[in-house]
This record gives sequence, C-alpha cells and structure tokens, in this order.
Amino acid sequence: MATGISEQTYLVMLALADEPRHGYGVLREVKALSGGRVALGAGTLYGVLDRLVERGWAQMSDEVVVDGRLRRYYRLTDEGLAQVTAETERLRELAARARRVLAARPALGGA
Amino acid sequence: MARRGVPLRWCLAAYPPRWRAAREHEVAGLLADLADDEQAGADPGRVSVPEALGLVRAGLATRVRTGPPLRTRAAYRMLDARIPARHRGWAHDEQHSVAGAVGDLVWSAMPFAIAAALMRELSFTVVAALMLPVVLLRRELHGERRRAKHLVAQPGEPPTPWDLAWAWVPRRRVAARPALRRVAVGALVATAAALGVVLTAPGHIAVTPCGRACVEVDAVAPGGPGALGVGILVGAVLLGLVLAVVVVAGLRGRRRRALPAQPHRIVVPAGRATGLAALLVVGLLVWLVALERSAAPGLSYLVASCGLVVLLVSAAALGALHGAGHGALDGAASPGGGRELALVDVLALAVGRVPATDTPRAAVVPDAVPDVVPDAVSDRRSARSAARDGS
Repeated sequence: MATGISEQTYLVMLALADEPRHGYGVLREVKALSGGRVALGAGTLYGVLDRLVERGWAQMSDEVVVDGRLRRYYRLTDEGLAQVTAETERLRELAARARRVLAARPALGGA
Repeated sequence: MARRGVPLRWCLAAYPPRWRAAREHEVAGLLADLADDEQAGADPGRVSVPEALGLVRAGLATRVRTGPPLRTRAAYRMLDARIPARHRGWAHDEQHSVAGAVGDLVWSAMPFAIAAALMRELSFTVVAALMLPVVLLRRELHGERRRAKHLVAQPGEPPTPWDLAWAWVPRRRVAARPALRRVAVGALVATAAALGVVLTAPGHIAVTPCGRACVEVDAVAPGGPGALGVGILVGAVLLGLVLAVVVVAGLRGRRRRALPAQPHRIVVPAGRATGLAALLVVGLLVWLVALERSAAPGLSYLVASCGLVVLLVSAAALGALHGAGHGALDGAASPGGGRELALVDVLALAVGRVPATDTPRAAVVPDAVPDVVPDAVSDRRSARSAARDGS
C-alpha cells in the first residue's frame, strides 16, 4: 500500500506514468494535471525525483543534449507504477467516502 | 541593463558536491527552459529570488538526507571513526570541500565555545578561535591518512564511485625558492618585533656579580639593549654571517653539479600547510615577545638573535640561487615538468652532501592505477628480504 506520498510526489509520479519525461516536461505535465494549481520549483522537483529514484520507484531512462542543454529522462519502474496505482485507488475510495458524507449532511439553512 | 536575479552557481552550492557533479548541467538546462518560457533571451545563469530560496532549501535538505546520521557524524568528527561504505560519497565530499573544513571547525571549536558560554570565561573563546588554523593544518597534514582510512574499500565492502586505491606516485618536494622566501619573511617579521621590544622596553637584562662563582641575571632600568644585549645581537649576526658563507659555498660548490636525476619527484610550490605553519609560529612568537613590552625583555633577545641567524642564512641561500641563474642551479628534471631545486636539495648541499635520489611513495589515488612496484622500491625490498633471510 502506498503510504507517505505527498501531493507533489503523486503528481510527479502521475506525470511519469504514461511516458518518460525530462525535468521540464514533468513540470509542465504537473501543472496541467493539477489544472494550473501546482507549479513546482526546480529544487522541489529534483528533491522528489531523488527520493523516487532512491526508493526504486523511478529511474533514469535516457539523456539527450538539445541546444546545449542536458535533458535527462525519467520513467516509472513497475514498483513505482504499482505505488501510484495503489495511491490512486486510495484517493478514489477517499473521494467516494467524502461524497457519501457530504450527501448525508443536511442542507445549509434548513430547519 | 543590469542583470537581475541570483547566480545559479551560488544556489547550487547548497547541494553536496557529489550531487552537483551529477546534476548541475541538468538543473541548468531545466532552468534555461523555464527562463525561455518567462522571457526570451533571459539570462539562464541567474534565477529569481523565490527560485533561489527553493534551490537553497532543497540543497540543504539534500545534504541532510544523503549524509550519515548524527551519531555517525559525531563519531567521525570527534573520534575519527571510520565512515560506513554507504556514506563514502559524503566522506569524500567532507575531505575535499570547504563545507567539510567548516564542519571540522564547528565540531572542534564547539566544546570550547560551550565552555566559554557556561563558565563566562573569555579565554575559551580565544582557544575556540585558535582552532581554525589548527583544523586547517590538521586537514592538510593528515588528509592523506584520513583518505586512506575512510575512502579505501575494505574486503567485503561494496564498491562505490568514490573508492580510492593504493598506488605508487612520485614524491612531492617543496620548491626551494618560495619556501626560503616564506622563511625569510617570517624571520624578518619576528626579528623586527623582537628588536622593537628590546629597544622600547623600560628595562634591560644585566649580569651582576654576587660573590665568588656567582652572577645574577636581572632586569634593570633604563631600557635599551644594554651591553649584554648588544653582545648577544652582535654574536648572532656574526654566527649568521658564518653560516651564510657556508651555505653559499655549499650551493655554489662542485656538489651541486652532481645533482642526481629525479624521475620519481614532483617539485611543488610551498603549499598551504607550510604557510599556515609559518603563520602560526611567527604569530605565536610575536605575541610572546609583545608580552615583554612592559618589562625587561628576555625571550625577545632569543627571538631576535635566532631570527637574525635565520634571516641571514635564508637571504644568502636565496641570493645564491638567484645569482647562479635559473638554468645553472636548478634541480634535475622531474615528471612534474619543473626543473626547480627542492628545499631538501638546498639543505643537503648546505651541509656538504649530495642530495639523495627520491623513491616513489605509496599513496591513495582516485583512479585504479596498476600497482606496479617500481625498480627502486623493489630493489630496496629485495635487499631487506635478503637481510632478513641472512639473519
């Protein structure tokens, strides 16, 4: 079961789930996935990537140089994919429970 | 238009050196892409203040996360306990970075600083401040031993990118000229300070008879060198001149023409260790003679006379080296490419000996160099084995 995954880590893992991405690509995907709400800084991004690699949930897949800029691509490992899937399921169940709780709540302004 | 923002290099300094070596170009590329998004032609070498703060915070967090736990650090700093293989990258950074020196200083000075705070005793603060040159000197002098202890893999340990290995390397010798210049400057400073005290102190040393076979050495007014002081200083000058003549004769004599080839030597400029050692010695001497300013000088005569001898000898040696020209008196060629005479050669020539041929020394190096025992060492080992067998 995935435990201790912060929202930022979860979004980075989601960004890497469908295809390998380099740092800049991850930042853009995270912004898109969060609807523009989460804009990671470089320090935060590489902190998250370091921890993912240390845990064996992500790994470097390739590196290319474009216009003199080094781009290193990362991809999720099978274990990382399992973790993000489990976390997604946990969030889905949480959202379902939240909906039930909110539906049972009396309407505001009622008698 | 002035360039705005914080230099990226400053921000990345918060990260451990091994992290920077692996990721610096990658982060620079990412930030260059981000800078293009915000403003075409923006300087990719600078980042905004919020981004800089984020990088510094993440860098410090990376240092903490990737370093050993506190108890391991404490044992390493205070007891020089060996660092486990999994933290060898951290140990490598510690021994090759300014942050490592700062860490050593903090841990060394901390007990004295705490004592100063608890006991309200100012002298402990002075001791804590004195730990700076001590720590720097210790890192310089014991660096090789510490690298061998912490960075050479032991049997059964997993290999790491920071492993060092033993190899035979050329012997490093300090170049004569820069070392002699430092000695001469140090002697000049200490002598000037001691002579200043001798001339300005309110009393002088006098020897007075106190009966049969009895003399008293005492401080009496007025100030000034006095007859005994003048005698000591003149004697020191005469001794210095005699030794200077001997040194110059040795350096210009026929033995220097028989300097051996030095294939296993690298002549290096006088490093930080010798500079720090000279600074410590001279600073200590100046401080001690300054204490005699309000009384009759005693130690000041010793410092002044020894300083005069050293000054004259070192100046004569420098003059002999300079006067003979670079090509004429320079040492034999070494793998380091220099033909500079080493200080050990000058000392040998000064006492009338032909300098010995250096043999390679065992040292820890980053790359795996084939451990081939050079002929000179091999011959020496064979001789030792034969001697053991014979006995």
